[in-house]
Amino acid sequence: MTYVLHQLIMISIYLILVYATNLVTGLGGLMTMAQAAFYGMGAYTYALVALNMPAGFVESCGLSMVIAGFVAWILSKVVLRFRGETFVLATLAFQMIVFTILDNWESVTGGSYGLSEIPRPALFGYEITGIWGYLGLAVCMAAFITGIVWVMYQSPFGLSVRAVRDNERAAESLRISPQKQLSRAFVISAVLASFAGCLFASYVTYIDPTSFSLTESIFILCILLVGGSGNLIGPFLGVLFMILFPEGLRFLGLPDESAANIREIVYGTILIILMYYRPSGLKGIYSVK
Amino acid sequence: MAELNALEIQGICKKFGETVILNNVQATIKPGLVTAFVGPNGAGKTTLFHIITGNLSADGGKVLLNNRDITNLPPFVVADIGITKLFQDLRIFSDMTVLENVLVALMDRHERKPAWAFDHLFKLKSFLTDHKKEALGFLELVGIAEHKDKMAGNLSYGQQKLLALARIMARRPSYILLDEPTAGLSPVMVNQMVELVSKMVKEMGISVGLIEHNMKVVQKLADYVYFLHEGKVFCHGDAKTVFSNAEVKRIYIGLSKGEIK
Repeated sequence: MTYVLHQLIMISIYLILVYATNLVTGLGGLMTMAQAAFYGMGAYTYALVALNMPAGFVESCGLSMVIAGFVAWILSKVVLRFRGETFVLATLAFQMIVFTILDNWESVTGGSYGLSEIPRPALFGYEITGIWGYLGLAVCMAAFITGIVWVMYQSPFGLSVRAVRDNERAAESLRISPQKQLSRAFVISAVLASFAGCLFASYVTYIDPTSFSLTESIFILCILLVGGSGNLIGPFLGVLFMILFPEGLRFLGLPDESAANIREIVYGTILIILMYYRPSGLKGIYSVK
Repeated sequence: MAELNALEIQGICKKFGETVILNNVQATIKPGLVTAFVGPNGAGKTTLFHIITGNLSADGGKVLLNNRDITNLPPFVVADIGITKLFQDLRIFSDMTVLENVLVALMDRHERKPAWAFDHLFKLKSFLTDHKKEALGFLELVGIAEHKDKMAGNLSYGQQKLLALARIMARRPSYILLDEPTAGLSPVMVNQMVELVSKMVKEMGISVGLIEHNMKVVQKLADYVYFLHEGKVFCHGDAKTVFSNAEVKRIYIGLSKGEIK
Protein backbone atom coordinates (compact mmCIF):
# COMPACT_ATOMS: atom_id res chain seq x y z
CA MET A 1 0.00 0.00 0.00
CA THR A 2 2.79 2.38 0.96
CA TYR A 3 4.30 1.66 -2.43
CA VAL A 4 1.16 2.78 -4.24
CA LEU A 5 0.88 5.89 -2.08
CA HIS A 6 4.52 6.69 -2.80
CA GLN A 7 3.87 6.44 -6.54
CA LEU A 8 0.87 8.73 -6.23
CA ILE A 9 2.96 11.32 -4.39
CA MET A 10 5.68 11.13 -7.04
CA ILE A 11 3.03 11.46 -9.76
CA SER A 12 1.75 14.63 -8.07
CA ILE A 13 5.24 16.11 -7.85
CA TYR A 14 6.03 15.26 -11.46
CA LEU A 15 2.71 16.66 -12.58
CA ILE A 16 3.75 20.05 -11.18
CA LEU A 17 7.15 19.77 -12.84
CA VAL A 18 5.77 18.82 -16.21
CA TYR A 19 3.02 21.44 -16.22
CA ALA A 20 5.74 23.96 -15.40
CA THR A 21 7.86 22.74 -18.29
CA ASN A 22 4.83 22.82 -20.55
CA LEU A 23 4.66 26.61 -20.14
CA VAL A 24 8.07 27.00 -21.78
CA THR A 25 8.20 23.96 -24.04
CA GLY A 26 4.54 23.41 -24.90
CA LEU A 27 3.28 26.96 -25.08
CA GLY A 28 6.53 28.77 -25.84
CA GLY A 29 8.03 26.11 -28.09
CA LEU A 30 11.44 26.22 -26.43
CA MET A 31 12.97 22.97 -25.23
CA THR A 32 14.40 23.80 -21.85
CA MET A 33 17.04 21.54 -20.38
CA ALA A 34 17.28 23.53 -17.16
CA GLN A 35 14.12 22.29 -15.48
CA ALA A 36 15.91 19.88 -13.14
CA ALA A 37 18.25 22.72 -12.15
CA PHE A 38 15.31 24.78 -10.87
CA TYR A 39 13.79 21.66 -9.33
CA GLY A 40 17.10 21.08 -7.54
CA MET A 41 17.48 24.71 -6.53
CA GLY A 42 14.04 24.54 -4.98
CA ALA A 43 14.81 21.34 -3.11
CA TYR A 44 18.19 22.52 -1.82
CA THR A 45 17.02 25.98 -0.84
CA TYR A 46 14.08 24.46 0.99
CA ALA A 47 16.36 21.98 2.77
CA LEU A 48 18.95 24.58 3.72
CA VAL A 49 16.38 27.05 4.99
CA ALA A 50 14.41 24.43 6.89
CA LEU A 51 17.56 22.95 8.41
CA ASN A 52 19.29 26.17 9.40
CA MET A 53 16.59 28.70 10.11
CA PRO A 54 13.53 28.68 12.30
CA ALA A 55 11.37 28.85 9.21
CA GLY A 56 8.21 26.87 8.56
CA PHE A 57 7.13 25.07 5.41
CA VAL A 58 5.44 28.07 3.85
CA GLU A 59 8.36 30.45 4.46
CA SER A 60 10.94 27.96 3.19
CA CYS A 61 8.92 27.26 0.05
CA GLY A 62 8.32 30.96 -0.45
CA LEU A 63 12.00 31.76 -0.20
CA SER A 64 13.09 29.03 -2.59
CA MET A 65 10.46 30.08 -5.12
CA VAL A 66 11.59 33.71 -4.92
CA ILE A 67 15.23 32.71 -5.40
CA ALA A 68 14.43 30.39 -8.31
CA GLY A 69 12.29 33.10 -9.91
CA PHE A 70 15.06 35.66 -9.56
CA VAL A 71 17.71 33.33 -10.99
CA ALA A 72 15.37 32.39 -13.85
CA TRP A 73 14.73 36.04 -14.58
CA ILE A 74 18.47 36.78 -14.82
CA LEU A 75 19.03 33.61 -16.83
CA SER A 76 16.19 34.45 -19.22
CA LYS A 77 18.00 37.65 -20.21
CA VAL A 78 20.78 35.46 -21.58
CA VAL A 79 19.14 32.27 -22.83
CA LEU A 80 16.17 33.95 -24.49
CA ARG A 81 18.52 35.58 -26.95
CA PHE A 82 18.63 32.14 -28.49
CA ARG A 83 16.07 29.92 -30.16
CA GLY A 84 16.01 26.32 -31.23
CA GLU A 85 19.14 24.24 -30.71
CA THR A 86 21.14 27.11 -29.23
CA PHE A 87 18.48 27.63 -26.58
CA VAL A 88 18.71 23.94 -25.72
CA LEU A 89 22.49 24.25 -25.38
CA ALA A 90 22.31 27.42 -23.32
CA THR A 91 19.86 25.91 -20.82
CA LEU A 92 21.88 22.71 -20.80
CA ALA A 93 24.94 24.71 -19.78
CA PHE A 94 23.00 26.23 -16.88
CA GLN A 95 21.82 22.77 -15.86
CA MET A 96 25.44 21.55 -15.77
CA ILE A 97 26.55 24.56 -13.74
CA VAL A 98 23.85 24.06 -11.12
CA PHE A 99 24.55 20.33 -10.92
CA THR A 100 28.28 20.94 -10.52
CA ILE A 101 27.65 23.43 -7.73
CA LEU A 102 25.29 21.04 -5.93
CA ASP A 103 27.77 18.22 -6.34
CA ASN A 104 30.89 20.08 -5.27
CA TRP A 105 30.07 22.82 -2.81
CA GLU A 106 30.38 20.42 0.09
CA SER A 107 30.29 22.93 2.94
CA VAL A 108 26.83 24.08 1.90
CA THR A 109 25.17 21.35 -0.15
CA GLY A 110 26.95 18.40 1.39
CA GLY A 111 28.39 17.52 -2.02
CA SER A 112 27.56 14.08 -3.28
CA TYR A 113 26.44 13.04 0.23
CA GLY A 114 23.57 15.48 -0.07
CA LEU A 115 21.48 16.76 2.79
CA SER A 116 19.57 14.61 5.20
CA GLU A 117 17.08 14.93 8.03
CA ILE A 118 15.16 17.60 6.21
CA PRO A 119 12.16 18.49 8.35
CA ARG A 120 8.74 17.33 7.26
CA PRO A 121 6.30 20.12 6.47
CA ALA A 122 4.17 21.60 9.23
CA LEU A 123 1.04 23.45 8.25
CA PHE A 124 -1.08 25.41 10.72
CA GLY A 125 0.89 23.90 13.58
CA TYR A 126 0.21 20.37 12.40
CA GLU A 127 3.22 18.40 11.27
CA ILE A 128 2.63 16.16 8.30
CA THR A 129 4.57 12.99 8.96
CA GLY A 130 2.45 10.11 7.75
CA ILE A 131 2.37 9.09 4.14
CA TRP A 132 -1.39 9.66 3.94
CA GLY A 133 -0.99 13.19 5.18
CA TYR A 134 1.75 13.83 2.70
CA LEU A 135 -0.30 12.34 -0.12
CA GLY A 136 -3.07 14.76 0.78
CA LEU A 137 -0.67 17.69 0.67
CA ALA A 138 0.94 16.62 -2.63
CA VAL A 139 -2.37 15.95 -4.36
CA CYS A 140 -3.86 19.23 -3.15
CA MET A 141 -0.82 21.15 -4.33
CA ALA A 142 -0.80 19.38 -7.70
CA ALA A 143 -4.51 20.11 -8.12
CA PHE A 144 -4.00 23.72 -7.12
CA ILE A 145 -1.17 24.19 -9.60
CA THR A 146 -3.08 22.38 -12.32
CA GLY A 147 -5.79 24.97 -11.74
CA ILE A 148 -3.31 27.84 -12.01
CA VAL A 149 -1.78 26.44 -15.17
CA TRP A 150 -5.22 25.78 -16.65
CA VAL A 151 -6.17 29.43 -16.18
CA MET A 152 -2.87 30.46 -17.73
CA TYR A 153 -3.41 28.34 -20.82
CA GLN A 154 -6.78 29.98 -21.44
CA SER A 155 -5.71 33.46 -20.55
CA PRO A 156 -4.53 36.16 -22.94
CA PHE A 157 -1.06 35.42 -21.55
CA GLY A 158 -1.17 31.77 -22.67
CA LEU A 159 -2.61 32.71 -26.02
CA SER A 160 0.10 35.29 -26.67
CA VAL A 161 2.88 32.86 -25.72
CA ARG A 162 1.43 30.36 -28.20
CA ALA A 163 1.36 33.10 -30.82
CA VAL A 164 5.05 33.78 -30.17
CA ARG A 165 5.75 30.08 -30.55
CA ASP A 166 3.98 29.98 -33.90
CA ASN A 167 5.47 33.09 -35.41
CA GLU A 168 7.47 35.65 -33.51
CA ARG A 169 7.42 38.33 -36.14
CA ALA A 170 3.69 38.13 -36.61
CA ALA A 171 3.22 38.25 -32.85
CA GLU A 172 5.34 41.39 -32.74
CA SER A 173 3.20 43.01 -35.39
CA LEU A 174 0.26 42.41 -33.03
CA ARG A 175 2.01 44.32 -30.26
CA ILE A 176 3.29 41.27 -28.39
CA SER A 177 6.84 41.46 -27.12
CA PRO A 178 8.22 37.93 -27.61
CA GLN A 179 11.09 38.46 -25.17
CA LYS A 180 8.79 39.65 -22.43
CA GLN A 181 6.18 36.91 -22.82
CA LEU A 182 8.74 34.13 -23.08
CA SER A 183 10.66 35.46 -20.11
CA ARG A 184 7.46 35.53 -18.05
CA ALA A 185 6.72 31.94 -19.04
CA PHE A 186 10.29 30.94 -18.21
CA VAL A 187 10.22 32.56 -14.77
CA ILE A 188 6.81 31.11 -13.83
CA SER A 189 7.98 27.72 -15.02
CA ALA A 190 11.11 27.94 -12.83
CA VAL A 191 9.11 29.06 -9.81
CA LEU A 192 6.71 26.12 -10.16
CA ALA A 193 9.60 23.69 -10.69
CA SER A 194 11.30 24.96 -7.55
CA PHE A 195 8.06 24.42 -5.65
CA ALA A 196 8.01 20.83 -6.89
CA GLY A 197 11.57 20.64 -5.51
CA CYS A 198 10.38 21.84 -2.10
CA LEU A 199 7.66 19.20 -2.04
CA PHE A 200 10.15 16.54 -3.04
CA ALA A 201 12.77 17.52 -0.45
CA SER A 202 10.24 17.73 2.35
CA TYR A 203 8.78 14.37 1.33
CA VAL A 204 11.90 12.25 0.95
CA THR A 205 13.77 14.18 3.74
CA TYR A 206 17.06 13.26 2.07
CA ILE A 207 18.33 14.80 -1.16
CA ASP A 208 21.50 14.41 -3.20
CA PRO A 209 22.53 15.92 -6.54
CA THR A 210 21.72 12.83 -8.61
CA SER A 211 18.01 13.63 -8.39
CA PHE A 212 18.63 16.92 -10.20
CA SER A 213 21.03 15.90 -12.95
CA LEU A 214 20.75 16.42 -16.69
CA THR A 215 19.12 12.99 -16.94
CA GLU A 216 16.29 14.34 -14.83
CA SER A 217 15.83 17.34 -17.14
CA ILE A 218 15.70 14.99 -20.11
CA PHE A 219 13.26 12.74 -18.27
CA ILE A 220 10.95 15.69 -17.64
CA LEU A 221 11.10 16.65 -21.32
CA CYS A 222 10.42 13.04 -22.29
CA ILE A 223 7.30 12.99 -20.15
CA LEU A 224 6.10 16.07 -21.97
CA LEU A 225 6.92 14.72 -25.41
CA VAL A 226 5.36 11.33 -24.71
CA GLY A 227 2.21 12.81 -23.23
CA GLY A 228 1.94 15.67 -25.65
CA SER A 229 2.49 19.34 -25.04
CA GLY A 230 0.39 22.46 -25.22
CA ASN A 231 -2.61 21.25 -23.22
CA LEU A 232 -3.50 19.82 -19.82
CA ILE A 233 -4.31 16.23 -20.68
CA GLY A 234 -1.11 15.42 -22.55
CA PRO A 235 1.29 16.07 -19.66
CA PHE A 236 -1.04 14.18 -17.32
CA LEU A 237 -1.03 11.10 -19.55
CA GLY A 238 2.72 11.49 -19.95
CA VAL A 239 3.32 11.47 -16.20
CA LEU A 240 1.10 8.43 -15.71
CA PHE A 241 2.81 6.55 -18.50
CA MET A 242 6.41 7.47 -17.70
CA ILE A 243 6.15 6.90 -13.95
CA LEU A 244 3.92 3.86 -13.91
CA PHE A 245 5.35 2.10 -16.94
CA PRO A 246 8.85 1.49 -15.51
CA GLU A 247 7.24 0.51 -12.23
CA GLY A 248 5.17 -1.98 -14.20
CA LEU A 249 8.35 -3.41 -15.72
CA ARG A 250 9.50 -4.05 -12.17
CA PHE A 251 6.92 -6.82 -11.96
CA LEU A 252 8.38 -8.59 -14.98
CA GLY A 253 10.76 -10.32 -12.61
CA LEU A 254 13.95 -9.19 -14.29
CA PRO A 255 17.18 -10.17 -12.54
CA ASP A 256 18.14 -7.51 -10.03
CA GLU A 257 21.59 -6.75 -11.36
CA SER A 258 20.41 -5.93 -14.91
CA ALA A 259 16.86 -4.78 -14.20
CA ALA A 260 17.62 -1.07 -14.24
CA ASN A 261 19.52 -1.28 -17.52
CA ILE A 262 16.91 -3.41 -19.25
CA ARG A 263 14.24 -1.02 -18.12
CA GLU A 264 16.12 1.90 -19.65
CA ILE A 265 16.44 0.03 -22.95
CA VAL A 266 12.76 -0.92 -23.09
CA TYR A 267 11.93 2.61 -22.14
CA GLY A 268 14.09 4.14 -24.87
CA THR A 269 12.73 1.80 -27.52
CA ILE A 270 9.17 2.66 -26.63
CA LEU A 271 10.00 6.36 -26.76
CA ILE A 272 11.40 6.02 -30.27
CA ILE A 273 8.40 4.02 -31.45
CA LEU A 274 6.04 6.55 -29.92
CA MET A 275 7.77 9.54 -31.48
CA TYR A 276 7.70 7.80 -34.85
CA TYR A 277 3.99 7.05 -34.81
CA ARG A 278 2.74 9.93 -32.70
CA PRO A 279 5.09 12.88 -33.04
CA SER A 280 2.70 15.06 -31.10
CA GLY A 281 2.62 12.65 -28.16
CA LEU A 282 -0.28 10.65 -26.75
CA LYS A 283 -2.50 13.69 -26.65
CA GLY A 284 -0.83 16.89 -27.67
CA ILE A 285 -1.40 19.85 -29.90
CA TYR A 286 2.12 20.32 -31.14
CA SER A 287 4.47 17.88 -32.73
CA VAL A 288 8.17 17.79 -31.98
CA LYS A 289 9.93 20.47 -33.99
CA MET B 1 7.41 70.73 -43.45
CA ALA B 2 6.06 67.61 -41.87
CA GLU B 3 2.39 67.02 -42.30
CA LEU B 4 0.23 66.44 -39.26
CA ASN B 5 -1.01 62.87 -38.77
CA ALA B 6 1.03 61.63 -41.67
CA LEU B 7 3.56 58.82 -41.72
CA GLU B 8 6.68 60.48 -43.06
CA ILE B 9 9.67 58.70 -44.49
CA GLN B 10 12.61 61.07 -44.56
CA GLY B 11 15.83 60.20 -46.33
CA ILE B 12 15.84 56.51 -45.42
CA CYS B 13 19.02 54.67 -46.38
CA LYS B 14 19.74 50.96 -46.07
CA LYS B 15 22.66 48.80 -47.14
CA PHE B 16 23.04 45.04 -47.02
CA GLY B 17 26.79 44.64 -46.97
CA GLU B 18 28.04 46.68 -49.91
CA THR B 19 24.71 46.58 -51.75
CA VAL B 20 22.68 49.74 -51.46
CA ILE B 21 19.02 48.79 -51.05
CA LEU B 22 17.50 52.16 -50.21
CA ASN B 23 19.11 55.46 -50.97
CA ASN B 24 17.64 58.59 -49.44
CA VAL B 25 13.99 57.63 -49.87
CA GLN B 26 11.47 60.39 -49.18
CA ALA B 27 7.77 59.58 -49.06
CA THR B 28 4.61 60.37 -47.14
CA ILE B 29 1.79 57.99 -46.35
CA LYS B 30 -1.11 60.36 -45.97
CA PRO B 31 -3.90 59.80 -43.48
CA GLY B 32 -7.13 58.39 -44.82
CA LEU B 33 -5.65 57.59 -48.21
CA VAL B 34 -4.01 54.69 -50.02
CA THR B 35 -0.37 55.35 -50.88
CA ALA B 36 1.10 52.79 -53.25
CA PHE B 37 4.74 51.85 -53.69
CA VAL B 38 5.45 50.23 -57.02
CA GLY B 39 8.59 49.27 -58.81
CA PRO B 40 10.50 46.28 -60.14
CA ASN B 41 11.47 43.40 -57.87
CA GLY B 42 14.45 44.35 -55.78
CA ALA B 43 13.60 48.04 -55.81
CA GLY B 44 13.55 48.06 -52.00
CA LYS B 45 9.80 48.30 -51.38
CA THR B 46 9.56 45.48 -48.87
CA THR B 47 12.75 46.63 -47.16
CA LEU B 48 11.20 50.07 -46.79
CA PHE B 49 8.12 48.55 -45.11
CA HIS B 50 10.32 46.46 -42.84
CA ILE B 51 12.16 49.61 -41.77
CA ILE B 52 8.92 51.46 -41.03
CA THR B 53 7.68 48.63 -38.81
CA GLY B 54 11.04 48.18 -37.11
CA ASN B 55 11.73 44.69 -38.46
CA LEU B 56 14.88 46.12 -40.02
CA SER B 57 16.96 49.01 -38.80
CA ALA B 58 17.65 52.00 -41.02
CA ASP B 59 21.24 53.03 -41.72
CA GLY B 60 20.18 56.63 -42.11
CA GLY B 61 17.11 58.83 -42.25
CA LYS B 62 14.00 58.99 -40.14
CA VAL B 63 10.49 57.65 -39.94
CA LEU B 64 8.10 60.12 -38.36
CA LEU B 65 4.53 59.56 -37.25
CA ASN B 66 2.70 62.76 -36.37
CA ASN B 67 6.14 64.36 -36.06
CA ARG B 68 7.24 61.73 -33.54
CA ASP B 69 10.46 59.97 -34.46
CA ILE B 70 9.73 56.23 -34.56
CA THR B 71 12.86 55.13 -36.43
CA ASN B 72 14.37 51.84 -35.30
CA LEU B 73 11.87 51.22 -32.50
CA PRO B 74 11.22 47.53 -31.80
CA PRO B 75 8.40 46.10 -33.96
CA PHE B 76 5.99 45.58 -31.09
CA VAL B 77 6.37 49.22 -30.04
CA VAL B 78 5.71 50.39 -33.60
CA ALA B 79 2.65 48.12 -33.65
CA ASP B 80 1.59 49.61 -30.34
CA ILE B 81 1.74 53.09 -31.85
CA GLY B 82 -0.73 51.91 -34.49
CA ILE B 83 1.26 50.81 -37.52
CA THR B 84 0.93 47.22 -38.58
CA LYS B 85 1.81 45.18 -41.61
CA LEU B 86 0.43 42.39 -43.76
CA PHE B 87 3.52 40.31 -44.37
CA GLN B 88 4.22 39.13 -47.88
CA ASP B 89 4.52 35.60 -46.49
CA LEU B 90 1.42 36.11 -44.27
CA ARG B 91 2.84 34.64 -41.06
CA ILE B 92 -0.42 33.37 -39.68
CA PHE B 93 -0.31 31.29 -36.50
CA SER B 94 -0.72 27.94 -38.21
CA ASP B 95 -0.94 25.83 -35.03
CA MET B 96 -3.80 27.91 -33.69
CA THR B 97 -7.42 27.93 -34.81
CA VAL B 98 -8.66 30.62 -37.16
CA LEU B 99 -10.64 32.20 -34.34
CA GLU B 100 -7.66 32.18 -31.98
CA ASN B 101 -5.58 33.94 -34.62
CA VAL B 102 -7.90 36.92 -34.45
CA LEU B 103 -8.44 36.57 -30.70
CA VAL B 104 -4.72 37.13 -30.05
CA ALA B 105 -4.87 40.39 -31.92
CA LEU B 106 -7.77 41.65 -29.82
CA MET B 107 -6.00 41.43 -26.49
CA ASP B 108 -4.32 44.40 -24.91
CA ARG B 109 -0.91 44.63 -23.41
CA HIS B 110 -2.02 44.72 -19.78
CA GLU B 111 -4.32 41.75 -20.36
CA ARG B 112 -1.35 39.68 -21.50
CA LYS B 113 0.32 39.83 -18.11
CA PRO B 114 0.13 36.44 -16.40
CA ALA B 115 -1.41 37.97 -13.27
CA TRP B 116 -4.22 39.66 -15.19
CA ALA B 117 -6.15 36.41 -15.64
CA PHE B 118 -6.04 35.78 -11.88
CA ASP B 119 -7.12 39.30 -11.06
CA HIS B 120 -10.10 38.81 -13.34
CA LEU B 121 -10.64 35.15 -12.64
CA PHE B 122 -14.41 35.31 -12.42
CA LYS B 123 -14.72 37.56 -15.45
CA LEU B 124 -12.34 35.52 -17.59
CA LYS B 125 -15.06 33.39 -19.14
CA SER B 126 -17.26 36.31 -20.17
CA PHE B 127 -14.16 38.20 -21.31
CA LEU B 128 -13.25 35.35 -23.63
CA THR B 129 -16.83 34.95 -24.86
CA ASP B 130 -17.08 38.65 -25.66
CA HIS B 131 -13.76 38.70 -27.45
CA LYS B 132 -14.58 35.57 -29.41
CA LYS B 133 -17.76 37.27 -30.59
CA GLU B 134 -15.76 40.30 -31.65
CA ALA B 135 -13.18 38.13 -33.40
CA LEU B 136 -15.96 36.35 -35.25
CA GLY B 137 -17.17 39.74 -36.46
CA PHE B 138 -13.83 40.34 -38.16
CA LEU B 139 -13.88 36.87 -39.68
CA GLU B 140 -17.36 37.60 -41.05
CA LEU B 141 -16.07 40.85 -42.48
CA VAL B 142 -13.47 39.05 -44.57
CA GLY B 143 -15.83 36.13 -45.25
CA ILE B 144 -14.12 33.16 -43.59
CA ALA B 145 -16.28 32.88 -40.46
CA GLU B 146 -17.38 29.34 -41.32
CA HIS B 147 -13.79 28.13 -40.90
CA LYS B 148 -13.38 29.56 -37.42
CA ASP B 149 -12.56 26.26 -35.70
CA LYS B 150 -10.13 24.97 -38.31
CA MET B 151 -6.41 25.07 -37.71
CA ALA B 152 -5.23 28.14 -39.55
CA GLY B 153 -2.48 26.13 -41.27
CA ASN B 154 -5.14 24.05 -43.02
CA LEU B 155 -6.73 27.00 -44.83
CA SER B 156 -6.04 27.66 -48.49
CA TYR B 157 -3.54 30.36 -49.36
CA GLY B 158 -6.26 32.84 -50.26
CA GLN B 159 -8.13 32.17 -47.02
CA GLN B 160 -4.91 32.57 -45.05
CA LYS B 161 -4.45 35.94 -46.66
CA LEU B 162 -7.94 36.99 -45.63
CA LEU B 163 -7.26 35.69 -42.13
CA ALA B 164 -4.06 37.71 -41.92
CA LEU B 165 -6.04 40.75 -42.98
CA ALA B 166 -8.77 40.10 -40.39
CA ARG B 167 -6.11 39.72 -37.73
CA ILE B 168 -4.58 43.05 -38.66
CA MET B 169 -7.92 44.82 -38.72
CA ALA B 170 -8.76 43.44 -35.30
CA ARG B 171 -5.73 45.34 -34.02
CA ARG B 172 -7.53 48.55 -35.13
CA PRO B 173 -4.36 50.26 -36.33
CA SER B 174 -4.31 53.73 -37.80
CA TYR B 175 -1.84 52.64 -40.49
CA ILE B 176 -1.75 49.34 -42.34
CA LEU B 177 1.10 48.43 -44.64
CA LEU B 178 0.03 45.82 -47.18
CA ASP B 179 2.83 43.93 -48.87
CA GLU B 180 1.41 42.48 -52.10
CA PRO B 181 -2.08 41.75 -50.80
CA THR B 182 -3.34 40.30 -54.08
CA ALA B 183 -0.33 38.18 -55.05
CA GLY B 184 -1.32 34.57 -55.63
CA LEU B 185 -5.06 35.23 -55.46
CA SER B 186 -7.70 34.24 -58.01
CA PRO B 187 -9.38 37.10 -59.93
CA VAL B 188 -12.50 36.77 -57.77
CA MET B 189 -10.45 37.02 -54.61
CA VAL B 190 -8.47 39.95 -55.99
CA ASN B 191 -11.74 41.84 -56.33
CA GLN B 192 -12.74 40.83 -52.84
CA MET B 193 -9.41 42.07 -51.52
CA VAL B 194 -9.77 45.39 -53.33
CA GLU B 195 -13.22 45.82 -51.81
CA LEU B 196 -11.92 45.02 -48.36
CA VAL B 197 -9.09 47.50 -48.63
CA SER B 198 -11.35 50.31 -49.79
CA LYS B 199 -13.75 49.41 -46.98
CA MET B 200 -10.87 49.67 -44.52
CA VAL B 201 -9.96 53.11 -45.79
CA LYS B 202 -13.43 54.55 -46.23
CA GLU B 203 -15.37 52.97 -43.37
CA MET B 204 -12.74 52.30 -40.76
CA GLY B 205 -10.61 55.35 -41.52
CA ILE B 206 -7.40 53.36 -41.78
CA SER B 207 -4.54 54.79 -43.84
CA VAL B 208 -2.92 52.28 -46.14
CA GLY B 209 0.57 51.83 -47.56
CA LEU B 210 0.42 49.41 -50.45
CA ILE B 211 3.02 47.39 -52.31
CA GLU B 212 1.42 45.87 -55.38
CA HIS B 213 2.38 44.55 -58.77
CA ASN B 214 -1.14 44.30 -60.14
CA MET B 215 -1.51 47.59 -61.97
CA LYS B 216 -5.29 47.38 -62.11
CA VAL B 217 -5.40 47.10 -58.34
CA VAL B 218 -3.05 50.03 -57.92
CA GLN B 219 -5.11 52.15 -60.28
CA LYS B 220 -8.32 51.23 -58.48
CA LEU B 221 -7.04 51.83 -54.98
CA ALA B 222 -4.11 54.21 -54.89
CA ASP B 223 -4.58 57.88 -54.25
CA TYR B 224 -0.88 58.49 -54.59
CA VAL B 225 1.91 56.42 -56.12
CA TYR B 226 5.65 56.31 -55.48
CA PHE B 227 7.67 54.56 -58.12
CA LEU B 228 10.82 53.07 -56.65
CA HIS B 229 13.75 52.01 -58.78
CA GLU B 230 17.15 50.84 -57.56
CA GLY B 231 16.50 52.09 -54.05
CA LYS B 232 15.37 55.57 -55.00
CA VAL B 233 12.06 57.25 -55.53
CA PHE B 234 12.12 57.54 -59.29
CA CYS B 235 8.92 59.51 -59.64
CA HIS B 236 5.73 60.09 -57.74
CA GLY B 237 2.26 61.48 -58.27
CA ASP B 238 -1.21 60.10 -58.86
CA ALA B 239 -1.47 56.74 -60.56
CA LYS B 240 -2.18 58.20 -63.99
CA THR B 241 0.84 60.50 -63.94
CA VAL B 242 3.23 57.81 -62.77
CA PHE B 243 2.09 55.11 -65.16
CA SER B 244 2.12 57.43 -68.15
CA ASN B 245 5.74 58.28 -67.51
CA ALA B 246 7.75 56.86 -70.42
CA GLU B 247 10.72 55.87 -68.25
CA VAL B 248 8.46 54.06 -65.79
CA LYS B 249 6.93 52.11 -68.64
CA ARG B 250 10.37 51.17 -69.88
CA ILE B 251 11.72 50.10 -66.49
CA TYR B 252 8.64 48.48 -65.06
CA ILE B 253 6.57 47.07 -67.86
CA GLY B 254 9.63 46.31 -69.96
CA LEU B 255 8.57 48.19 -73.04
CA SER B 256 11.36 49.18 -75.36
CA LYS B 257 11.63 52.78 -76.49
CA GLY B 258 9.95 52.01 -79.82
CA GLU B 259 6.91 50.50 -78.10
CA ILE B 260 6.29 53.47 -75.85
CA LYS B 261 3.73 55.78 -77.30
